[in-house]
Amino acid sequence: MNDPQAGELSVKRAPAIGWSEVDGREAELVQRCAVGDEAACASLVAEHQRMVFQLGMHLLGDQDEALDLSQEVFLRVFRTIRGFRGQSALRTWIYRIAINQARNRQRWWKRRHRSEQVSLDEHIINHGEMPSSDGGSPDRLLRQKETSELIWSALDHLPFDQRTAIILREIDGLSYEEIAYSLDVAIGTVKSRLTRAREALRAQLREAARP
Amino acid sequence: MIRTACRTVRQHLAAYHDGELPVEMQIAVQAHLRECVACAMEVNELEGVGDALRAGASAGVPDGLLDGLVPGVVSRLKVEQSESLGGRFSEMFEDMHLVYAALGAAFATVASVALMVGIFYFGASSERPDSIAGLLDAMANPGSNANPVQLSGRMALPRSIDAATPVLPMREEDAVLTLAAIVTREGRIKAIELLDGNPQERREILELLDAISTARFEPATFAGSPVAVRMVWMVAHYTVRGSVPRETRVFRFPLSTVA
Repeated sequence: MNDPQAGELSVKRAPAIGWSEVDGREAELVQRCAVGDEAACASLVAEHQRMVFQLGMHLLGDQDEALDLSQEVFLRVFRTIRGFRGQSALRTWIYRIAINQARNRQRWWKRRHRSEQVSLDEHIINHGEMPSSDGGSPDRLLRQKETSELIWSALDHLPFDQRTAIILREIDGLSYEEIAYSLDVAIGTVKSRLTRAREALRAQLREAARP
Repeated sequence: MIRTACRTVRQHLAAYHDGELPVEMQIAVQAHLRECVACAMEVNELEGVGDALRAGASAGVPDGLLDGLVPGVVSRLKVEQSESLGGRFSEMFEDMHLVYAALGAAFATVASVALMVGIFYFGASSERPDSIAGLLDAMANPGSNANPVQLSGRMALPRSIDAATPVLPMREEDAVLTLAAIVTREGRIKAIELLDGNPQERREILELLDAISTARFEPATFAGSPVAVRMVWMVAHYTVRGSVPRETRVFRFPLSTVA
């Protein structure tokens, strides 16, 4: 596992740990953060910053906004960490805070008529070049790229809640239960949002597939 | 058969794709997909959407982009903590000399309040008119028996209701007595005081005072309510000399009131 704080890459063999040990470690970290232990707070940020930043990027589409969001998310985490009682995994709880903060930012953008559409070039600049699959022909790579463009363009036009649900499921790999907790909705609502989001995206794909 | 199964299976395709089905359902859908091209194509579309999303997702975080996040968050936390009430409260305890002085002042305040509460609650009794509680109670109720008022023009004067008036043997000499008393709300006389009189008639005066103390009055009233009032009486005895045998005379005299 790479330590992002280290000046050089180092690889540590992670010892095998059971679920109870994971929970205990997380609980201890939360407890130390709650009493203001700076080292514990720094450790928590380092552990989850990548996840939060990437979620911010996927939801907001802007690197600077995602950075601001990340800082606000962690500040909010530490302000409210005393109220965290292990009702979910820490990661899921942080997801919830991140989504709420992103939603607030989206509303702020809408009030100022900021365009939600992100051009492909801007998307590439913000997200980085799309990875190419191994062994793909140039044509296939081009088709993949075009398909991705369409999907992400369609994604930007989805309502925030649907967009969030599909991103949490397809990119972050959260379960229905975790998505429900993060969005503070019922599992049935998660399923219906995923269904509507997928229908919209599949419609885009079918549209693009027409000759 | 396949169509029926399709209607049922399509409701679960998304959950199948997301790995959220129970094991037995997962196996059943898998078996159906091996036979049903339409449902298999639908699953392919779902997978295509997922693949396209992942392909366009952030490839990674550029090196160094998040280096400032940890120190930024920690420094803002420090600032917030120092500005918080808890932080300011902690600063108060940095100089213990001030703390000791504050504790002493707080203790003195608490002790004073406790002493006052104790005096009022345990020591004082409104049944004792000379107690603090009694005095405060009296001062708060003008017109009460403990705090009689002076007669004023807006009050109805007390009136004697006793048919009998004091009968005293008096000497022949003229006498004027000035008495002060309180007519209570119940119409009784209390706190009789001789303001002016002949000391030589002490015995007669005492008998007069005793007689007056048993007299009954309709109390003075103010706005229809009885009030205790301070009264001053002037009791005068004059002898009108005539051709009457010298004998001990008994005079009946009404009590007149002088406000």
